[in-house]
Amino acid sequence: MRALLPPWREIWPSVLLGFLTVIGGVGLLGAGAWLLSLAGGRPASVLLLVVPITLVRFMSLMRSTSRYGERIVSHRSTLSHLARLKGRVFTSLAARTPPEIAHGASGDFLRRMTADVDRLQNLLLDALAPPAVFALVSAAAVGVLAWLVGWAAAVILGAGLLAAGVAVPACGLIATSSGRVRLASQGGRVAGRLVDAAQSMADLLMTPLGGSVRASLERDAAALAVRQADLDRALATVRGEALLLAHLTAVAVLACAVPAVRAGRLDGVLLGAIVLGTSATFEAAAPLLGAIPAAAEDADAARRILVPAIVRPRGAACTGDTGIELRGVGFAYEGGPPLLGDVDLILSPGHHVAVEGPSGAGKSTLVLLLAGLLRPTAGRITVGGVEPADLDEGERARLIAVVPQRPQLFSGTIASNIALGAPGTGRGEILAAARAAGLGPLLATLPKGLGTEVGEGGLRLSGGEMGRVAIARALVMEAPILLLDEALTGLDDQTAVEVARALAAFGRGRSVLAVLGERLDAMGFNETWRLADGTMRRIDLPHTSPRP
Amino acid sequence: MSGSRGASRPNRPFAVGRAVLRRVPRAWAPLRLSLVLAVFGTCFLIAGFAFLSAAVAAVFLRHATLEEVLPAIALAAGALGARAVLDALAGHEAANAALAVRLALRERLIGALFALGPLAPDAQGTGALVTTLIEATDQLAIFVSTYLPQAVLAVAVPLVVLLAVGSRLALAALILLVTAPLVPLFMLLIGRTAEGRARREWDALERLTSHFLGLVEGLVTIRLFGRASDQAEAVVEIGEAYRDRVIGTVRVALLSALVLELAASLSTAVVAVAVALPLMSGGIAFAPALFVLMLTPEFYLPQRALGSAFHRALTGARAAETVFHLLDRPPGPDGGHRPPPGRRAPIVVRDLVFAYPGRGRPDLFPISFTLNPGERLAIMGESGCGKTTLILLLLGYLSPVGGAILVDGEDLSCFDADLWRQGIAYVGQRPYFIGGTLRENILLGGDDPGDEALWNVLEQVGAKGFVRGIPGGLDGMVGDRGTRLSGGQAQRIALARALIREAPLVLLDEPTSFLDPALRTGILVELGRHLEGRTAVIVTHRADEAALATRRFLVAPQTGWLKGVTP
Repeated sequence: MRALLPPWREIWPSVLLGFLTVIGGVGLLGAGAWLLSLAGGRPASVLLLVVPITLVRFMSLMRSTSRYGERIVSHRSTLSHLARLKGRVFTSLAARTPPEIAHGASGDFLRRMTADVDRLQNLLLDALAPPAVFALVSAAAVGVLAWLVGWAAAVILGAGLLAAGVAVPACGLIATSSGRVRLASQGGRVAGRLVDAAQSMADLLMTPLGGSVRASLERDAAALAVRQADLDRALATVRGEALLLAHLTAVAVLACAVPAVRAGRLDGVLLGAIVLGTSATFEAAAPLLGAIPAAAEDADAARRILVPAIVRPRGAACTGDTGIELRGVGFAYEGGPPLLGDVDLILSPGHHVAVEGPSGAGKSTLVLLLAGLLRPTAGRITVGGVEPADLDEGERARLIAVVPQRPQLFSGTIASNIALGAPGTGRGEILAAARAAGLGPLLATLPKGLGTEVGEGGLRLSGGEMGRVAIARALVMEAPILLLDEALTGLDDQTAVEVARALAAFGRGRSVLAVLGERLDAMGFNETWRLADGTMRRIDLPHTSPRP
Repeated sequence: MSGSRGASRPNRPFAVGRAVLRRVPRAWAPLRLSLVLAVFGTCFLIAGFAFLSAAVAAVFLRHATLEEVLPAIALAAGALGARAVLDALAGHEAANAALAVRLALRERLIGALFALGPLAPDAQGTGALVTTLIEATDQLAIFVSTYLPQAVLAVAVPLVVLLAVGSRLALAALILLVTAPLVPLFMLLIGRTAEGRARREWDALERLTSHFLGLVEGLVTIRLFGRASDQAEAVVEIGEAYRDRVIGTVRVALLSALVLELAASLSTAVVAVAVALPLMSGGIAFAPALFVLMLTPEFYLPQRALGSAFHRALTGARAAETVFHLLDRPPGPDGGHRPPPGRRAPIVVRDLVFAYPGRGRPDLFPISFTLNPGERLAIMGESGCGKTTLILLLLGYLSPVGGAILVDGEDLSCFDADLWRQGIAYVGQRPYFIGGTLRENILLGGDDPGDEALWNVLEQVGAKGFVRGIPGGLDGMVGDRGTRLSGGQAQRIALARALIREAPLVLLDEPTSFLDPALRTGILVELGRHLEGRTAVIVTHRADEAALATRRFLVAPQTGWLKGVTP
C-alpha cells in the first residue's frame, strides 16, 4: 500500500496551502464582521479601523493566492504520481504475467486495470489532503473558540465539525457501500460484454440471438444507470445533512456566546466575527463528503492492483552452451487443472524439433515456459544450466527469440517494430530480415516502406502481415534459440514455403522448437513430438527427416 | 440525424445542453424542478441570515439576553434548516435528470452500435467504443445534472442576493453590481485560451492511456524481447513529460479560478470597508451592514462553483462530441423490405469495391464473379487482400463503395437484410459467445434437435472430446463465467453452429485456421459432406480448405483481379 501513496514531500505543500485557503476565508469574514462591529460602536477616530481594514485585505489576498497555489501543486503531484504508478503497475504485471494477459488480454481485464490506475492517481486530491486540511482547520478553530468564548462553544463547534466532516460522510459511505461495489462490478461486466459484442458484431448479428443480446445489454446498462442514480441521490442527501450541520452549529455557537457577552467574558465586538467565522470553517469539511467514498474506492483499487506480488527474476546469467533440457516438467495455471504432466525433452544446438498436438493441449504454454515467461509448477527447465525464468531480462532476450502465436505490434514504424528485439540494428539488416520473413511484397506497395507507421493512427496490418513482422523481429535478434508458435498461420502457401526455407537457413546451428501449425514441414525437422493429454510423445511423420 | 454540423458537434455549454436535452426530453422536468428548489433554498438562506444578523446586533448593541433573542435565533435555525432540506431535494431532482440522460443515451448508443454492425469498432477501436458508451454518457449526465443548473444558478442566485442586499443597503448592492460582470468577463478571456489548450491536452491524455493499454496488451511480446524494464521506465518518462506539458495549461486554466477567488474575496473586503465608514458616521445601522457582509460571499459562490466546474463543461462538450459522433454516424445498410428470393437465385458480384471510411487504402479492389446455386466458390489470396471484407459485403453488413451484388438480378440492398441473413450459415474468424451454456451457444436461439443430434454434430467437428471434458457437458457454462474456450475450440463450436443451421448459403471465412492439421483433415471431410448441394463461398489461403469448392479463384493483391484456378 505504501508504494502506491505519493511521497510526503508532495503531500505537505498541498495540505499547507489548503489550510491557508480555509483560514483565509474564516479570517476574511471574521475580520469583516469585527470591522463592522468596531465601526458600529462609533469609534472616535478612523485610525482605530486601520488594523481590521488591513486584516480584511490581507486575508482576501491570502485566500485567493493560496487557493491558486494549492490547485497547481496538487495537479502537479497528481500527474507525477500517475506516471510513477503506471510504471510500477507495469513492472509488477511484467513480473507475474497473469493468464489473462498470457493468452491475450480480455477487454474487461484491461479496462478494470486502467480504471484502477486512474483511480489511484486521485489519491492525493481525494483521500490525503482534504482530511489533513480538515484536521488542521478543526483543531485551530476549536482552539480559538475555546479561548474566546469558552469550552461549551468549542465543544459545539468540534462536535458539529466532526459530525459534518466525519460522521455524515462515513454514514453515507456505509449506506452506499454495497451499491458502490455492485456498481463497479456491473460496470465492468457491461464493458466486457460490450467489447465482446463489438468485436464479433458480424457473428453476433447473424444469430437470432442478436436481438436478445442487445436487449440484455440495454437492460444491464439501464440497471447501471439506476444504481448510479441511487448513489447520486444518497450523495445529495449527505450534502444536505452536512449543510444543515454547518448552519445549525453557527446558530448554536451564537446561542452559546450570548450569555458570555452578557457576563462580560466576551467582548460583544467579536460576536459577529465568531458567528461568521464558525460557518466559514465548515468549508474544510465540504471536500470530505466526496473524499471518504472516494478513498474507499481508492483502497479497493489499490488492493486489486496490489494482488500481484512482485517477484523479481534472480538476474542469473547463462554460462556454457545453450542447450535446453526439460526434466519432468509439469504446469498448471493458478486455480486451473494441470495442463502439462511429465514432459521430458532435450534440445541441443543445431537440433530442430517440431511439436504438434490438438488445440488446447498446452503447446503455447510450453513455448511460454521455454521462454521463461512462466515457471514450471513441477520439474525443471534449464538453458545452459539455468532456469529461463531466472534469467535476467536482457540475457533472456539475447538467448531466446520467440515468434508468438498472437504477436503484438506497437505504435511506431514497421522498422521500429522489427528492431524491438534488438535495438540498434542497422537498416540493412532490418530490411534483410523483413524480406526473409516475406514482407517484401507488402513493403513494395508502401510509399514509405519500412518507415510506414503501424497501429493506431497508422496502417492496419492483417493478421498474416503482423505474423511476418514478428518473424522478422525474431530473425534480427540472432539468438541461439528460436521458438516458433504456429508462426506461419495466416500466410498463403507460396509465402509460407519461402519463409519456412528462410527460417530453416537461419536455424542452422541454432536450437529450434516449432509448434507445428501447418506447412512448417518445409523447414525440415530432426524429430517431431506430439503433445497430448499433458505428455510429449515422439512420433514419426513423413516430413520428419533431417535436412540435407 | 438531420442536425447541422453546429448542432451535432456543439462546443458551447448551452448548445451542448440543448443538444442533449433535445434527445432526452424527459430530463427537462426534473431539471426545472431542481432549479426552482435551489432558488427557494437561497430565499430561505437570506431569511436565515436576516434573523441571525438581527440577533447579533441585539446582543452586541443592546446587550439583549438569550431569552430576548431566542425567537430570532430559532427563526434563523428554522430558515437555514429549510434551506438545507431544499438543497438536498434539488440534488435529488438533479440525480433524476442524470438518470434520464444515462438511460436514454445508452439505449440509443447500443442501438447505434447494432445498426453499425461490424463497422462499429472500426472507426474508434473497441476500447474507445466502450469509453463512449459508459464514460462519455456518465460525463454528459454529470454535465446536464450539475453544470447546466450551476450555469443557470450562477445568474439566478446573484440576482436574488442582489435584490436582498439592495433592499437593505443600496451602496453595497452597487458594489456587487459593478464587480459582477468582471468575473464572467475574465472567465471568458481565460477560458478561451485554456479551452484550446485543454482540448489538446485531452488528446494527449487519451494517447497516453492507449499507449499504456497497448503495452499491457503486448506484455508477452515485450517480455519475450527483454524490453519490460525499458518500457516501465518509458511509461514513467512519458507520464512525466506529459505532466510537464500539461502543467502549463493547468496554470492558465486555473487562472480563472484565481480571478474568481480574487473577485469574491476582494469584493467582500471592499464591501466590508465601504460599509464600515458610513456605519461609523451613523449613516446606516449595524444589523443590515452585518447582513450584507454575510450575504456577499453568497453572491459570488454560484459563479465560483461554476468556475471550478469549468472542466465539466469541457469534458461535457468533448463527451457530447464522441457520443453524438457515434449516434450520428450513418448506420450500416439496413436493406429494403422485400423478402429475398429463394435458394435457387444466382448471386452476381459485379466490379465490387470497398474501402473503410478514413482508411488509407481500399480494402477490396474491383472483383466480379457469378455464384450459381449449388456452386461452391473458393476465393483465395494473400492475407490483407480483402477476403473478410467480401464476406461482410455478401452478408449485407457493408454497402459497397462501387459495383454491386445482385441476387436474382436485383441489388442486395433491395432485400430485407435480416431475412437475407437468416438464409446464410456463416463461420467467421471471431465467433461470438454469449454468456450461457454450450447448448445455447451452439443453437443460438434455433430449435433444439435433441442431445443425440448435437453430439453427432460435435463429433463431426471434432469437438466431442473437449465438450465431454467441460463440467456439465452440453449444459456447462462457457465464455465469461464458465469454461474459457481456446481459439481452436471456439472455431469448432462455430462450425457446429453452421452445420446445425441447414442454411442454403454457407459463407466460410478461414473456417479451420485455428485447428491443428491432425484435426483439420477429418473436419474438412465432414464439412465437404455438409456443403454437398449447398451454395458456398469459402475465403481462405489454404489449399485443403479451397478443395471444398467446385471452383477456385485467386484474388491478386492490389488489383483485385480474379484468376480462375479451376475452370
